[in-house]
Amino acid sequence: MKEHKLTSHFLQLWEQYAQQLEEQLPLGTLRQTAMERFRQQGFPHKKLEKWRFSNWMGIDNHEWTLNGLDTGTSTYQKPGHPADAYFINGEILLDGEGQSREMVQLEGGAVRIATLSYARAHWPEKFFTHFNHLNGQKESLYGIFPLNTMFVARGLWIEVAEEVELSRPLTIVYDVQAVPDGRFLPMRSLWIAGRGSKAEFLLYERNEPTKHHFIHHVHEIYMAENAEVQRATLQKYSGKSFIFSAELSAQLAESQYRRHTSTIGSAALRNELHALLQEPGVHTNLSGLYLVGSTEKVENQVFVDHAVPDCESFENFVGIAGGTGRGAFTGHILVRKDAQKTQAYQSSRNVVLDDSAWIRTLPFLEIYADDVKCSHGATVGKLDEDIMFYLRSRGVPDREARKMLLTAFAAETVEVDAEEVRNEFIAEIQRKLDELLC
Amino acid sequence: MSDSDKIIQEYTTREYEHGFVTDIEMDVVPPGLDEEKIRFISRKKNEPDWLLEFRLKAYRTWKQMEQPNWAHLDIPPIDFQSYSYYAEPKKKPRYKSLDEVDPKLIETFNKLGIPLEEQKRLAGVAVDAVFDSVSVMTTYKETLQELGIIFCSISEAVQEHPDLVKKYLGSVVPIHDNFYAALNSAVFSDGSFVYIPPGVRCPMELSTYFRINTKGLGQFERTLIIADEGSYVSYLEGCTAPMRDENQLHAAVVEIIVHKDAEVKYSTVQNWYPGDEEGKGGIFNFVTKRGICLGDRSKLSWTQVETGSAITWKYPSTILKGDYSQAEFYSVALTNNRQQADTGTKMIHLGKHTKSLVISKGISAGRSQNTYRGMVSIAKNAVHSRNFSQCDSLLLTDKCGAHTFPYIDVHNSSSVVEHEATTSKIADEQIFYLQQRGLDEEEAVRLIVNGYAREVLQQLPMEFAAEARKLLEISLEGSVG
Amino acid sequence: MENQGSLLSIRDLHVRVEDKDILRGLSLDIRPGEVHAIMGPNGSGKSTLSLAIAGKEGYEVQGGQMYYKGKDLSEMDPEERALEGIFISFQHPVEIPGVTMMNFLRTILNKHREYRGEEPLSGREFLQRVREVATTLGLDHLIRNRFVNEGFSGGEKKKNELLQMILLEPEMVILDEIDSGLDIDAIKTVAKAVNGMRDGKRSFLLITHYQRLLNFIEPDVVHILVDGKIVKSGDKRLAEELEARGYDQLVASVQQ
Repeated sequence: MKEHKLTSHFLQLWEQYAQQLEEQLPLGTLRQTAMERFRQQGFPHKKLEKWRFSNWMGIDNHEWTLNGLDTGTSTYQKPGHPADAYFINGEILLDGEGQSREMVQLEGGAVRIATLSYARAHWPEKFFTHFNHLNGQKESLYGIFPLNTMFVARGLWIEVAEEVELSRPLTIVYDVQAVPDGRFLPMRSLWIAGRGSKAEFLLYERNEPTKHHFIHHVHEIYMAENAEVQRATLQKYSGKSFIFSAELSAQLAESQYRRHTSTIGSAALRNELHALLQEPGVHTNLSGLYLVGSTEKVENQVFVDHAVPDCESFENFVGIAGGTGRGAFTGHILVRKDAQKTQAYQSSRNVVLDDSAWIRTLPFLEIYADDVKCSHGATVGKLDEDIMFYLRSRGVPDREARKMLLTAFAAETVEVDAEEVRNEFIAEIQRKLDELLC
Repeated sequence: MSDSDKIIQEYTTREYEHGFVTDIEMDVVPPGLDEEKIRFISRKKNEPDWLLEFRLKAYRTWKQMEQPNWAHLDIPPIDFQSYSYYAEPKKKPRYKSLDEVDPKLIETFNKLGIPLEEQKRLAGVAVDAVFDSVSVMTTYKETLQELGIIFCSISEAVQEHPDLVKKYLGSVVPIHDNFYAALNSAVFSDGSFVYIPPGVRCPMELSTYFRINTKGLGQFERTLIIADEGSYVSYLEGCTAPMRDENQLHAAVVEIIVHKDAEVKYSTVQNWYPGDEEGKGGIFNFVTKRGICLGDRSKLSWTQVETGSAITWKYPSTILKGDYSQAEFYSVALTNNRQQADTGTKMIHLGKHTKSLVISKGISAGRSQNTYRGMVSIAKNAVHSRNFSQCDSLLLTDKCGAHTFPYIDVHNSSSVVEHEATTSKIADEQIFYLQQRGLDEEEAVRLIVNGYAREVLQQLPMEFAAEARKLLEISLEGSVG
Repeated sequence: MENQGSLLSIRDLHVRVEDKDILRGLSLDIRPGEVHAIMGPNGSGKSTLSLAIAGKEGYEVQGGQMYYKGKDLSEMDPEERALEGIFISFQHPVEIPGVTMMNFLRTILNKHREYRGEEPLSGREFLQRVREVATTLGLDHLIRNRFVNEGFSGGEKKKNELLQMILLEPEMVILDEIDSGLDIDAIKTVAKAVNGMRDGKRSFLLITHYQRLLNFIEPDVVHILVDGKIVKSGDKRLAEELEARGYDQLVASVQQ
């Protein structure tokens, strides 16, 4: 197997920083185990079946550094977007007012947002029943997963108490600003939705356009019995940064999970979603939108694991590629042997705007139970010519007609209930479309 | 015991219909493979130097390669040195007339429903019968010759039409294409050769019948079909093998070249011995089939009915090079007991305004694993191209698996690719409805499966559609769970 | 080349669709305020004419000219033709998933206003206007939270075309089989809407298979289209004659 040069690089970084990292966030054997797994797997290379598309061109030309553990930015700014909490540079938690905190309580204490080190120090038992439970299951799969556990020192703890229903959606902004070029930024967010709780989160991920980072974010999302969680993310990374984002979710009986991410461009971004439907009666709804132009590359890898009977999953992904952009979707539904009465649907629809753009879609079904209803549909194409003509014959010029149809095509996936937030997402989509259509 | 259990039991005791062994004296080359064996095969067949070089180059390439492991298949380790790579009937391998043919061979093909005698010949079908490594007999040869059509064994074509063979052999499936293709290129024994001259519409079905008989023999046939400008041919192959406890190896290569305005229909009814209900024995079927629509407006249509083999690894593919060229792939793959199939197609669109259609129907029963694997690739210059794929899977028991792995790549803005897939079982209400109308459960399943496969079966030449339907029903009998 | 005083002037038009010659030398002059009807059997080229005027791709003009307000249509994009005042009610209006009626109507109306140098309507004015028109057509229930033509009945799709016609105030209206699939009440609604638009300046071209529509919208000129050519023109009595004798007889008499 071909050795990726980042493998030895990260192992060297480990030699240099392991002790400091452990002092920041003591993880005991987890960290050491992860390193050994990373050593075995190595940094993912192109020859791996599920990494063929993700040739993050140029990622190995950088000596990614941790540069001490702090990003060295004391002069961060509170981002303009109003939020309930901000997480800056993967290290500093701010409350809605912009005050630096170790813990923020919202909704009368029903929601606690804390730094990981705070959670580790104050609720060690709960911390260790959740932390790396899901990521650990993936660590032997690809080296990218243990890489996070090896180096993570900071992150967020987001916990919703049992049997509470939040009165409004909560907003968290993840911002990367003024971090020196070349930084490797591993972070972890741990989401815990208590039994019977109901919560909605709006997430904004962004960075400073001129900078050049390797952002590696793993979300572990745990939903207890009857919990209902909605997460909608506007993912907008600019500049030359490399982004790896994993959302690993596990759902207990009768819980419901609705997730949407709109990915607006990115030089090189890979979203990896692994949904484990762990107990019967679970409902999972995953949607995503990706818009790529110029030389951008965005990939969504979605794995839905129907481990038990009587669960439902829906996937709806839409991609639009212009310029020499590349967009990819790999959806993999696994229905295990006894997962009878499974219903699983997957849809991947894409539009290619230019002859140098490229869309790849791999909608996989792997099914070992017979009493199931599974289907998928995938299309790659262009805008409907008859509709284009209809609009033009009503006086709408070509470019505007395209924008109108593409907006409608994209907006259909945006699973956000609050009208003004939905409009905010759509406005970002339209800004990107303006760029793609010029 | 429930009805369905009874039916299952009844089926599992059913024997593979074509499982008899022909007791005929064969010259078998000792097992194992090295350059000397390849020289021996080549010498035995009196081949020109270029072909020996082709074989040796393939052998050297193969030695550098590893057996692929990406398919959704559990392939037991194969000792390629344990197989024998050549066998021929002791008596004269090639016959001028039927009188010279060993009566046991004639009887074998009669039993298989492929009569070689003049008076019993299938009307409208010319047959090339391949027994183990050697082509035994080609019928209707003279009739075809009058039209300039060449239909003979590839060994004969090497002697009689060396220029054509040299020009096209390895042009669609190069020797380094994959592990099994390289092996085939090194050791291929016989197979069919078809050449249709410009503007000629072949008036009858051309058919090759493959039979593996000898124990421990690998069969490596090679088929080469060339449809010159504006010509048409429909070609069909069928395969069977005796029941044997050990696995037998079959690694064929088929190359099809379709010139401008020509059309080729290629149909397969694959019924190699699938092994017993515990998965013992059966054929390992590792096949590389590929055609190229070389000229503008050329057309290639694949139809396959796959019911046999312990393991199937097969992806009949088309390279759509000519502008406005078209390709179709119709497939029914039925797996039962411990069978494993990983099969599908690749449609590589290179020319402008090219079109392809994929209809795949998988049926899984017993403890089998059935995978559709397909690729549709639209190149940057293949503007205004289209593909539609429909891949359905039907699960008949809760112990089998049905998998769909499509790969779709689109590199331009004027093409449209659509892929749809569903996985389901037969609805209880459908069975009940038919039972209420007087069918038993098994008849109901047969009817429903036949309806399910209909779109594919009706693509087969008429003479074979009924045969395929029967085969499907036999393979299906008692598999209801 | 063009006929002076004509709003739409078509000269010896030859149009080919998918390698088939559909229109083979069609000529037509429509002056401001006139109502023309083109009648013809299936496959005579009626819809091809409307789509060629609209400028649909694949409708290749092989010969002849189309002038509108003195301008050569072949030089104009489909949207330019629309903004210049040609409105075509399509025989089969397409469904546009995801695009709401309101968004669509507002976009096209403001495009036309902008082109004519008028201010865009405010949200309120627009809503008022659309409601007013929708009510007269009985389409109120379709303008809120519905996507364009999606899930509309055949009649609703046709009425939606008229809704747009009334909003956009075109100068040249071409109604392609607006009556097909409609019952008599719906035809009356259509006729009322069209007659309401007649102001002595606006011109209409009605394309229809049946004479029925012409009982409610009185044409100035009736043309019979057969095999891509106008074989006979006359006043409204020609339509009645056609109804009485049928296409076959009429064509036979013309060919003699």
